[in-house]
Amino acid sequence: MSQDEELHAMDADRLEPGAGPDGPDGDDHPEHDDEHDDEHDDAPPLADLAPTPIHGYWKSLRELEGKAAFQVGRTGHEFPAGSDQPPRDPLSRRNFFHLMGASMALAGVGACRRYEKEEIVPLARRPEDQTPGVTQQYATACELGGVGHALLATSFEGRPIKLDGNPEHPFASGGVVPGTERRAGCSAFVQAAILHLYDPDRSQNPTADHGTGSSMDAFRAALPQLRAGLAQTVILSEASSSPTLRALRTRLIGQGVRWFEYEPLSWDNERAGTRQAFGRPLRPIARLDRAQTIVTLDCDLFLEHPAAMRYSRDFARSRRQNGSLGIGKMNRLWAIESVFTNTGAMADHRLALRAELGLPLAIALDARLSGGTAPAAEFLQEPKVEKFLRFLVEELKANRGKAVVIAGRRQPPEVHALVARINQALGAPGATLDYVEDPDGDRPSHLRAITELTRAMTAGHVGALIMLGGNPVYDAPADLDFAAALGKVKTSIHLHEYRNETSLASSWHVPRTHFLEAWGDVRTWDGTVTLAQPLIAPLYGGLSAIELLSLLLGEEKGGEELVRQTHKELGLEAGWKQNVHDGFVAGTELAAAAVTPVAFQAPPLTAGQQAGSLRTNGELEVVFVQSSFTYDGRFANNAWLWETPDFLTKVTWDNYALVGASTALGLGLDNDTLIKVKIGDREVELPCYTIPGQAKGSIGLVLGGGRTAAGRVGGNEHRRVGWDTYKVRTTAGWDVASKATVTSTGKAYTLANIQEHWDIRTGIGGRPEIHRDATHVNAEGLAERLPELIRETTQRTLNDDRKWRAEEPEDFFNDPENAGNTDRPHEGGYSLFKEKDYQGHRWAMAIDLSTCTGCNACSVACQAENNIPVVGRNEVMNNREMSWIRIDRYFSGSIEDPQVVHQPIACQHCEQAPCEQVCPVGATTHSDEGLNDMAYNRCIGTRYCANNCPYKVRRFNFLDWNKEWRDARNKVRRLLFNPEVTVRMRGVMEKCTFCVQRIQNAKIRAKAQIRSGQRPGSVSAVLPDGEIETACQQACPTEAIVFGDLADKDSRVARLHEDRRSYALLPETYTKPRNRFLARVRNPNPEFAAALQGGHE
Amino acid sequence: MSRFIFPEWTETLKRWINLLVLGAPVYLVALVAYGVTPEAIRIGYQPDQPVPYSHALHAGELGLDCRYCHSTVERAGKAAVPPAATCMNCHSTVKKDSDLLLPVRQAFAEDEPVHWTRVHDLPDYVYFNHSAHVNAAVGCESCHGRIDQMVKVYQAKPLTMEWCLGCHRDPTPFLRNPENVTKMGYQPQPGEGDEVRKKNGVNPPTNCSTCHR
Repeated sequence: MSQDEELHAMDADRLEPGAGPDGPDGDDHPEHDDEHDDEHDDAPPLADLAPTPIHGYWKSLRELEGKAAFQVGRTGHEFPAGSDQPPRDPLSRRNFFHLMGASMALAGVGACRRYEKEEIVPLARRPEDQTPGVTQQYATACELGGVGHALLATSFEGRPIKLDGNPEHPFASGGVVPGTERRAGCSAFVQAAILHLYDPDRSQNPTADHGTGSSMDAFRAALPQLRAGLAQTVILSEASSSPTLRALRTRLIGQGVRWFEYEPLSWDNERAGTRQAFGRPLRPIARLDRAQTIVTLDCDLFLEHPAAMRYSRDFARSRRQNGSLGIGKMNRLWAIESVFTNTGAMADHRLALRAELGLPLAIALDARLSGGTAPAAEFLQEPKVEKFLRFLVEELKANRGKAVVIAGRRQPPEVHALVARINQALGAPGATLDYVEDPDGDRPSHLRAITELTRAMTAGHVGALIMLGGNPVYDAPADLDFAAALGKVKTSIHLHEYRNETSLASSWHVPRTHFLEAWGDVRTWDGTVTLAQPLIAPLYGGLSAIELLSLLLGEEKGGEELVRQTHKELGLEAGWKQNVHDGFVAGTELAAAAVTPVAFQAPPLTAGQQAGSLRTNGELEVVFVQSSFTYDGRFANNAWLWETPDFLTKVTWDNYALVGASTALGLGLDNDTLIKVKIGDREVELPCYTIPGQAKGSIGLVLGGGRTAAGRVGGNEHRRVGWDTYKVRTTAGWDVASKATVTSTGKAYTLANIQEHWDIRTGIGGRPEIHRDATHVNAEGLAERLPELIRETTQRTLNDDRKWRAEEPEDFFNDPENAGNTDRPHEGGYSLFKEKDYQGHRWAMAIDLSTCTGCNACSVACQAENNIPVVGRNEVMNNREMSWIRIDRYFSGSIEDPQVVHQPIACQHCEQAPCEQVCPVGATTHSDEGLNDMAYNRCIGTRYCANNCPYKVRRFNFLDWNKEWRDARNKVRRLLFNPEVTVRMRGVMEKCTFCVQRIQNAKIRAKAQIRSGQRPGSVSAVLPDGEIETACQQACPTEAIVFGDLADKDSRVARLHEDRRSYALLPETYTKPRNRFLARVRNPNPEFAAALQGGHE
Repeated sequence: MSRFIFPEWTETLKRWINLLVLGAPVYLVALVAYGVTPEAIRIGYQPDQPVPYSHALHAGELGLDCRYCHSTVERAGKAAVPPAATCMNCHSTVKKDSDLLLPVRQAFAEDEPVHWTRVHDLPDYVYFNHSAHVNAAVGCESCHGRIDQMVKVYQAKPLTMEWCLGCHRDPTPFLRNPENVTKMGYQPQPGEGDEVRKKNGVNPPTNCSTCHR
């Protein structure tokens, strides 16, 4: 079939759901476009898509239908409509000319003065270790959902400006591994957390009596009364791993305080599961660097898992060709999941299955591996599932001691117990899996804690409630009605950085210090005690959680004293200074546990779990998904995260329902419409995002939107961002809810989706006047072009075909007649322009598509490092987002079982840069070191360069995005700017600079040290490899991004550029990019792959 | 009535008037154009400072090395203005009751900084680094002029991009033996610049990103 026929075939399938060979028998299907009749028990099952043809690469379903923005319209739009419209602001065209006239007249006068008078304000006493203008780095830590993260904070003259992972930390970096750099990745959430430090919306003083302004003194005055009633006091805390908090907790419980802990996104099921399997709660820590076969069961290893950064790192190590498994070997990842996650995107084999089917699947897997009877479940007999399981089991059996299975947060405890048993059968413990003792084994689960607490509050058994962080009014299970229960508590105190929903419902609100303002200690997932030191005095006052507890105990100790005391109790007083410097206490990881399995019975299956994979409306499953924007809602006031596109959907500034393609077809749902999801008697209306590869009959509801008291960014009563999906999350369906009904409201709602923005593929495939059918032309062009943008191979090809190369060296230009004529265009060389001769450094980058998990850490790191503005939802829809790194996400294969490739694209720093040739003012020029420089002060905003860039990496400041920072109110926000990078103004083009500020500063430092004799060597020599790291490289948890100097033949980047997997984008344009990609290597099970191939013929 | 006839000298006047009418705009444009050059506006800028600190006295007469106060100049981008504590090293004994030094003493006592006015003010999109230049053995004098003769510091050089590039294109005349970097009024020996340039490997780049980031 040609591409064209395939498209038509697919269209036909879409018109007639269920008409395919695998569809349900055709007597009673619903019309896919009708409004849908909900809740009748004998509703027919939703249609199954016919086996869709295998496509090349595509970005969206719309594109497969030939309706993507760049496919419709005669020329194929290079930029979406709106991006070339005049800016939407009070400056109308008419006013603009008025102002222009005036400013021309006054131009001369304006120049007759100096710049604004500036002051130099040196400290009266300069601290010993501080040099003005030079950044310093301190180890510190933060905590997210009860898990510590070791950080390295960069501070400029006393203000922290950047957060990265602490490379010295044993868990974060994974220790010294030959062949890799000692580096620790840092998730997008943690990177962006620094924005909250300077957020002008943070709460600045306590409030009493539900919102009346108050003061810290008034709060302190109220404390004795509170202390008197400690026996009736209850504390509700966020999950915390802090040893100091734990010590204070023990003392408070001793005084009669009751303690509860709640997190809306919790890994409690894993504890409960290991308790079933081993008799006590344990924490499994997988050693992915040793695993040959990794199986995830509804688990996102690279984003949601508490050890995600470490897992990404370890995964990349065993994924590399010459990684931890040895030369020529790489791991194989099997993912079974409902919602498409990044782990599924990295997987070699992925099976989309409703989350509730995790239990029967685990039972079946257990039965096959350790002997037993497989459960009677219809879906297990389905050919796709049966085949997947058969090959998976075969491989696991062949890889005993080298395989590991990991189950996710949403799976019930029984599944975790079964997975533990499976891992025992695989011989994983001690090899690919370590069990450590749970540090807080007696704690009831978060769900039970909040249920019991709310019950006690409603019954009036709570005299005073102290809440340490959290936002239960917003995120507690909806059926508990926490807000009403809170109303029955006489005194409630809420400690939080923001005056959020819970603060407004509490009698007292006390501002909490940011983690960069307070002393603290946390434990990373392996238990290593990690110390947090403040980098700045509290900007708005406030207390940390441990300081508040200390006040409650009547001691008034400062944070440092409290943490130090805990340190002393651990017997580590002598090492205090060194440990604060390092940021962690070596050797404090949790003790490895010897495990002995205990027998347990798997529970009986429900009707839903015994059924097939097709569901009727009303029987649908809903899974609650962590938000890539706000985590659980807590980052709602973070504009960086809102504007960083989701990993797979590429949507910004929203949350939505994820609906699989076939489910959407059956329900008559469409992208960009509002749908109503009803669970029991609760319902929520939110936009629908149709995603390929989501399990049939499963709806993913993204949490964390629709806040009503988040701040100016995250929403308030009048203007919300996203939709409150907690409204339908109840104790019964906390992780996975069943019996959901979905109906379309028919209302259109456009998501700010960037997946069709900045498309490299535009304008390819010929001109419309030659081929009349533009869609047809582009589809063909795509088929031809895409395999060149994304190159893939398999482990087998690499091993068997020694001659395989991702790119034939210069085959495009290997015309012997022209050899040697490269600098004489008139004689027919390759380029019209003179070839450059590079003498010194030649900066370059290599990006490994094999290990890029698409986690967005690089994107947020770039935003923080380079002062990149945010533009807001409306302007994103106008294609005006400013992010310098975009991560292109391509699907390939069929709609039901697509594969995914992530491709981070920033400026390619072409040696023959097309942008440079068209700049009329020389604002973008080439440096001697091969950088494509951008002089903002020269740019006059013609946008010719962006137009001429084949990679679409240039970003234009259509409006003055930084205007608001000049408001007095936002004075504090300005402290976050990186002083090493110009803040750009309106009308200026910008793009990735390879972090030129870091390059220049490293060069200057090295040369100064060499010239002053502090360092051996010569100034013209290359810098040691790894001395300069770009921000994206530093943040990347998998070391997929490598930056360095090609002049150094031994540098990692030079070796990677020579690698046979390396290729450049669009080589036929002869731009000679300095950025090369390494082809994505997949490692499918050979027999399974062959069987799948057979199935398609 | 006979017609009025202009006397002959009005012909000359007419010529002058024409010249004036045509020439005035040219003159005005030239005047304004010169008036807004950095040379005209910026050279000689001499703001008042909170303390009438005399470089002529300290650096000239007393012969203090520049780096006694501007101690970070060799290792940082900024040649930091010293903290009040540095002043008090001497002024806790020398002239310790002077009224003129009151702001310094106050700053030291109350730990509140003195607010100096910046004289050499580059645009915010320019990233100048002192350590790069000092270690390459460019004298302080080359950019700051005879500081040792200034009672009140003023800007001596235009500090324009053209002026910067002049040296970046041919640094030899401005290089001197590293030990003389802070020496004022120093005349390099013939060939000294070439020698230092070779020895230090001074090869100043002229890329945009050298100064603009």
